[in-house]
Amino acid sequence: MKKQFSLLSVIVSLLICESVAFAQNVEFEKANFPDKKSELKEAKRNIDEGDGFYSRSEAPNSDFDLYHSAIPFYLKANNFNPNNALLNYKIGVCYIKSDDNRAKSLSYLEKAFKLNPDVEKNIHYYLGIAFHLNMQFETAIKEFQTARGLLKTDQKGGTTDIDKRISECRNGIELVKNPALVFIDNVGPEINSPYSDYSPVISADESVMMFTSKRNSSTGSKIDPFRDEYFEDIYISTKQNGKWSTATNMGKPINTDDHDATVGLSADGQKLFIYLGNKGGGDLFECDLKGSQWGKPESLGKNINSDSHEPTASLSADGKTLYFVSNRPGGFGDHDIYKSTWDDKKQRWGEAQNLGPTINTPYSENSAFIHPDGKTLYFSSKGHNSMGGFDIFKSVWNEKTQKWSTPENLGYPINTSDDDVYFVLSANGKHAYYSSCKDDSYGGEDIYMVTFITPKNPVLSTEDNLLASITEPVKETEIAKEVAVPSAAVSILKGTIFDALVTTKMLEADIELVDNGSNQVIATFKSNSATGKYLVSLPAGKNYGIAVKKEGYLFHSENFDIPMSAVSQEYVKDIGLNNISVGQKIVLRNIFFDFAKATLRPESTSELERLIKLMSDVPTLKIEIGGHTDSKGSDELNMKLSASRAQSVVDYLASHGIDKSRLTSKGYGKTKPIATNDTDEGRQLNRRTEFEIKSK
Amino acid sequence: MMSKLFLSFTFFALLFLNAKSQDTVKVSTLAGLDNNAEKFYNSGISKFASKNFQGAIADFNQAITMNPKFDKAFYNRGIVKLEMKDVKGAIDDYSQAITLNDSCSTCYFSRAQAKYSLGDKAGAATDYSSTIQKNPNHAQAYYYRGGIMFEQKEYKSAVTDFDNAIRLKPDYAYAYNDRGSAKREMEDYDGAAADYKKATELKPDLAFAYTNLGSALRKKEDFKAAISAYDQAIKIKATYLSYNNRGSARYDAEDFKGAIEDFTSAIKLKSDYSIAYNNRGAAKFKLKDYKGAIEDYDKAIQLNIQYGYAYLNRGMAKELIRDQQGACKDWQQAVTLGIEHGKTYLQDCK
Repeated sequence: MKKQFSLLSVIVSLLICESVAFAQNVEFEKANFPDKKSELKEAKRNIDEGDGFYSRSEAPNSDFDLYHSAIPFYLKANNFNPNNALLNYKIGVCYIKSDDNRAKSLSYLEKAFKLNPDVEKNIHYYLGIAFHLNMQFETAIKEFQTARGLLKTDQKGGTTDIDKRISECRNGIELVKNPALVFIDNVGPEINSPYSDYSPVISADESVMMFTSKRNSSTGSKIDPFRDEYFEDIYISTKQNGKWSTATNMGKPINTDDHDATVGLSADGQKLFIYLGNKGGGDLFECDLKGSQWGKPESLGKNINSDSHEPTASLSADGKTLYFVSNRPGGFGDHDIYKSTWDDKKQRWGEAQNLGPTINTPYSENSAFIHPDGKTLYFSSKGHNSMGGFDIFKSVWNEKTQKWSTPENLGYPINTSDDDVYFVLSANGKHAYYSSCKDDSYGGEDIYMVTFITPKNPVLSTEDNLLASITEPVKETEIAKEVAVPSAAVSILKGTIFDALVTTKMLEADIELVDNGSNQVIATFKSNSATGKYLVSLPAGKNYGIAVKKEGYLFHSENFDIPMSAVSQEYVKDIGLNNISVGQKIVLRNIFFDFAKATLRPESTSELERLIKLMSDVPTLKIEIGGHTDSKGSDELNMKLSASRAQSVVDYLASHGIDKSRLTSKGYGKTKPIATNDTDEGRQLNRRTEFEIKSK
Repeated sequence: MMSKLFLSFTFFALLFLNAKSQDTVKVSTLAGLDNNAEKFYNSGISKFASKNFQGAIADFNQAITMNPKFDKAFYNRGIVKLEMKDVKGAIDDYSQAITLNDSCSTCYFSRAQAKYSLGDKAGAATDYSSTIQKNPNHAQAYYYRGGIMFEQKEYKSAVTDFDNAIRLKPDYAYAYNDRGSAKREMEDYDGAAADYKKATELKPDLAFAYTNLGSALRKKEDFKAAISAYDQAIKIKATYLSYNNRGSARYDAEDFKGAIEDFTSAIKLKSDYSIAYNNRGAAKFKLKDYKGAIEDYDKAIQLNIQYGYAYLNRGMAKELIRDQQGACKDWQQAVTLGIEHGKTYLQDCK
């Protein structure tokens, strides 16, 4: 089966323009090789040989496809003289029109153009194709645009072709941006030979592979004169322990002397569909495996095979639907994909149905492959968004909508700007097999296995400091503030210690100051001996006790508060002490009587009160009140007056709650003077009321 | 029992010029004031301030001896103990202070902080609640309780607490930041971004709030804005974390080279940061430098043997250098470490 490609539909003229020779261009002429006569002759012979293949292939409506055969001859001549523009041009064109190594065309065409830009009128067109084949899409577009500009008005067909190629280049630019994640591996020398090996078919489990090869072990060992190659035969290899066995020719009855090519294998590997080129314009046949023997090829019947070209087919896993390719009239253009359903009653394939315009385009579709899932169709097309020649597409049948999905280009590197065809997929979808011409080829086209890698995205890890208090902790606990120390308010306590009855008598007494809150003595000191004065500074806000002691005097203690105050305060505490020794006589100077009477005058009250207080303070005290006069007047009267005056004081005291048993009175008259009676002053001192402590 | 702690006579005629110094006995008891609890207490505070912690403790001890009901002295001794890392001792003192004065919200608050630092989150939360009960205007108590809610994944309660903290303290940048984080966890990325933004407005030097803002924006897939927030964070304070995050945003924005620069910067700041190694590996992977990626993943795994994602990622890189067996082994390890997603990849290993 011939690999399909179309070239410029306008006839490329072979007329060689004898352009002005550029300095670089070296013609195969004696003058240029004066010393290499025989080598020149040999080179020219090789050119002639090559031209023979070239011209037969180039002839209008030629059935020959012999460009690849011209190449070895041209290369020999080129080796002798690499600087001939036309030869470089022809080598380039031959590569482009071969089945393999097409990308090699570029260096020769570039050189041809460099040696002579006018080497041939289609140079830009072919440069465009060469750049395109080398995936240099931008440059290819420029060359195609130049070629289009050079077309004459009667070459409109050429415009369509060039525009299509430009759009393929644009598709290529997009598709290369997002390559498919695949590994593509040569399946190895057990299967691939130095000749072209292609069109693999596999069983669903990938254990059996059959393929087409043009190797020299072909049945009948005949050369196809139109292609100058061995006729195609079908070969088989099986996978054991993960390795393919050395492929063997399947022999008769499958292989004949003519072209025999694989087109499909049922999922279970029991039915092989083959293409026989010599029947009905190229027809499809089925061979059944019976035991270990393959049966004779049987035609798929008239609904499948027509007078037109039916090159490939694929059977659904349930065996009920056959997808096949035909260029029969009534399609959408060139080869289209059809399907047919097995009619159990009639035991034949039913009428062919075109898959419709979603799948089929005005351009060629080929090599349909229905996946064992029964709904995913893989096929090759030159239409849709192909990036050049055939690309492989995928479309999924939607049972609900009864529609095919928009075909999806499988992408680069599965698809290239060259032809990518005969794509079959394993049942698990991990592997595909197809033929391609790559650098690691064992010769011609080879069969490659595509391994699909499920695109995986690495997982990044990030961290964030989500809680501020943990990221940058703030010291929140603070020490409690200082407290006000009570000393802030200082108070002054001052006063005088004196004899309670003889208030003019200042005393030096022991003073003890107690903080009643803490029950601690905070100070002991004496009052001034002369003045009886003291002064103490104290913290305010407390209750204090003051105790005053003086020998011969009654112990004095009392409590008092010094309230807390913002400002310093002064407190005065004068303390009178009571003299309490037996026999002690105290003159009560401030007791006054009416003249010559025993009636107490009101101004005596203070003195009397002090006396009452003493008697109350010291409840055991017993006293005698004594009355005294001066020497004037009769003694009898003086005795009587002094006695009644003393009694008045006793009465007063008794009437103020002092028990009478503690009181006695006596009139002494003038008998106990304490001063002279010769002066007024003396007599005044002698007129007095005294009391004497009798017991305590 | 009466004790004579002190007996002193001081004549200070100078103070009382109007008094005749000869005829009055003058006595001062003020020197004795140095012996009261308050004085020791205050002295303890000033010793604490000058970092003389032992001296401070001694003073507070003295104050407590003199006045066993001196709640503030207990509290302050707790503060000093905390400073001396005796957290349990601090808690005991705070508790004493609370026993003596149950209305002391600060005591509850400080005890909460101490409990939290010992990992007693429930106890801390209870004390924060008591703080709030004693002082309903205690913004910090709301804030910290919100933080505990956050850690317990009670994001709604956390937001409520942060709301209250912000209500009581409208310039509370931390509370805004943390509320943003709670919203982020609830997948309210708009709300989160707004809160983080507010935090940065209130406290423009809050680098981590910018980082958080970047991460919220990254979640919103606004990578450009995320990167510029991270830029700001790095400008204020370059940390391994902010570099790692910006690198991730650059990665998301498909600037893999820029991402590698950032991850490298993160590694420079923290040489054992396994995450940045993992991420740089991912960026190298995207640039088809599979071997370089594997080296980084190796390092990440070396630093963290439990790093499931690093295994998962290394498997991807191994797959693409055709080491399917190595890839499968790594994915298996990832699954073992709990990366469920690895199971899908293992399907390719059959």
